[in-house]
Amino acid sequence: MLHHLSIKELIASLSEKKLSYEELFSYYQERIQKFNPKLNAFISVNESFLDQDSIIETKLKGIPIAHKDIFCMKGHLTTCGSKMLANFKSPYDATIITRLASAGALTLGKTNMDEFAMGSSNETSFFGPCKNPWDLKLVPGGSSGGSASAVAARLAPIATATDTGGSIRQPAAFCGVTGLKPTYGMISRFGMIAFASSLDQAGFIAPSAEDIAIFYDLASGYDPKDSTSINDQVASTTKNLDQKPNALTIGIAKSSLDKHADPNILNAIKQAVNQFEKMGAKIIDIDLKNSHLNVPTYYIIAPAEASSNLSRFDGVRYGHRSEDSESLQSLYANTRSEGFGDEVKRRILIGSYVLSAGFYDAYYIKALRVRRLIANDYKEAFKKVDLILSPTTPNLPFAIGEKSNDPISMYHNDAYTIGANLAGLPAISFPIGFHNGLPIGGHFVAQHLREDLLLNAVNHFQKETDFHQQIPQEFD
Amino acid sequence: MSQNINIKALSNLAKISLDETESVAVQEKLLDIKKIIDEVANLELDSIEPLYNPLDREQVLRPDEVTEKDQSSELQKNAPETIDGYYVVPQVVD
Repeated sequence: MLHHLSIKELIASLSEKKLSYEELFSYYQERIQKFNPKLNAFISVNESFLDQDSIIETKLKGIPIAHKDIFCMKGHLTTCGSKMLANFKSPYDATIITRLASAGALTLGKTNMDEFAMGSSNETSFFGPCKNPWDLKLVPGGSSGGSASAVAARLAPIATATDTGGSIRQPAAFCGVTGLKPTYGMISRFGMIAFASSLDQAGFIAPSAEDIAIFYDLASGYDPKDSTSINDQVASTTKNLDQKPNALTIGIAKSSLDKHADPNILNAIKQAVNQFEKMGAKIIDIDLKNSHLNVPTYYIIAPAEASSNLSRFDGVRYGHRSEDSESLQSLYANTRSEGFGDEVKRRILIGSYVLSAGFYDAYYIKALRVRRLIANDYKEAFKKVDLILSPTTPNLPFAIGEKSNDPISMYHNDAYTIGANLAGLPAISFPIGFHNGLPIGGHFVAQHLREDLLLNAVNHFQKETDFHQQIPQEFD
Repeated sequence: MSQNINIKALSNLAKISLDETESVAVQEKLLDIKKIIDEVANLELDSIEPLYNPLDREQVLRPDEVTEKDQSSELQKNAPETIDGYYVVPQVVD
């Protein structure tokens, strides 16, 4: 039962030669072959890897990983969940791929996702919806639904993911696993297909905070190829992981969002609060007074940046090209019409609207002003507290098809997570309970560069609880 | 804010062609989204500086030096159509 072992335990087994990396890779490959047809968590699977004697000398010693199909991988399909890139083989590696490969991680395959990371259910993928392993009729969340589903069913011990408005944390909550969105700029965005550049951040989904800390320390840090990459000295998260935290002060925002939240989720939050209090934390109320503006602000900034970023898909240099075009203008318009799905088209159109002459100041610039207010609310709160706790999502995982025709309802699914992206703050979702067999996620936000605090607090919570160790029966 | 969205002008700006049926469906969804984002558009916030980079930092550019070798033929393998290193598109000039 290798899939019950943590990454720390797997590294120990590999170091002590109780297990070879070839055996471990084959074990996960077999699980993918057996279970992926049910889940559709992978878009492509890596059949083999380069045998290297040097792998055993590396830090990760051949630990397998799944990568979200948003990260460019040299010579491999990198589709971003879109028809536009269905046949695109990247000519280069993303920095996160390079760093993890040189640390000895072996790629199992590329995971399913909402098209261009736009969605909260994985239903916008050109490659079909991914399923939630806790109930195959339900969505796994999105956009990193494939990564969360694969980790929850233990088809990979860990997966990379990305988060623009909650795309790591919401699927982690829906699938009962842990997901870290680091501080904006802490993991290079080089080779990560851009959605909204001032919000996008790469991170990880794994069963536990301990698993994530090991990979986060290896993947994070300055990259000259990303002009927003942070070059600050930060604490090692693995080194501080087990240190008993000084009496933590945890803030709970009295939020209007709670009015719309499932009472079972709010109840699980109460129990998590009790657990943290037992562990010595002090709980106080805080006020994030502009949090009701998170969703409208995000749905101006993210589409605006997306409409600019996605203008590169024009059928000329790479990706899908319409065969039905007589002029350059119709080549652009037909290529984009055929290559993009409905949600991506909607966001490009909204982005074009808020950036167009006459509306730019009224929408885009104004949203950036609100963004400062939202960031200032967090700054004020962090004068009093170390961490801010809330649910990750207002509701439990919903059925495939239930919200696909209702984008507004889908957008509100990210209401709790968007604030951290707008303010560039690190945040984590972690399992805090179950209701009717479905997982519930708790959500912490910390100050900039305090990933160590997030992972430490969740690690201690996970030593006292076993929600993160639950595996859906069908996949155990 | 204006209550209408000129979908034809917008699809032209965004370079996304929409047929009549699609235009009607998209217009309806965009108007719903507009209702949400108008909450921001209706605020008075002129005294607040816009926040572009969430860490409020300047972007640092690296020195303008060539660090990679010429990979143009490698990069063009993904192109739908090329001739002698050029990308081919429909005729633009008569």
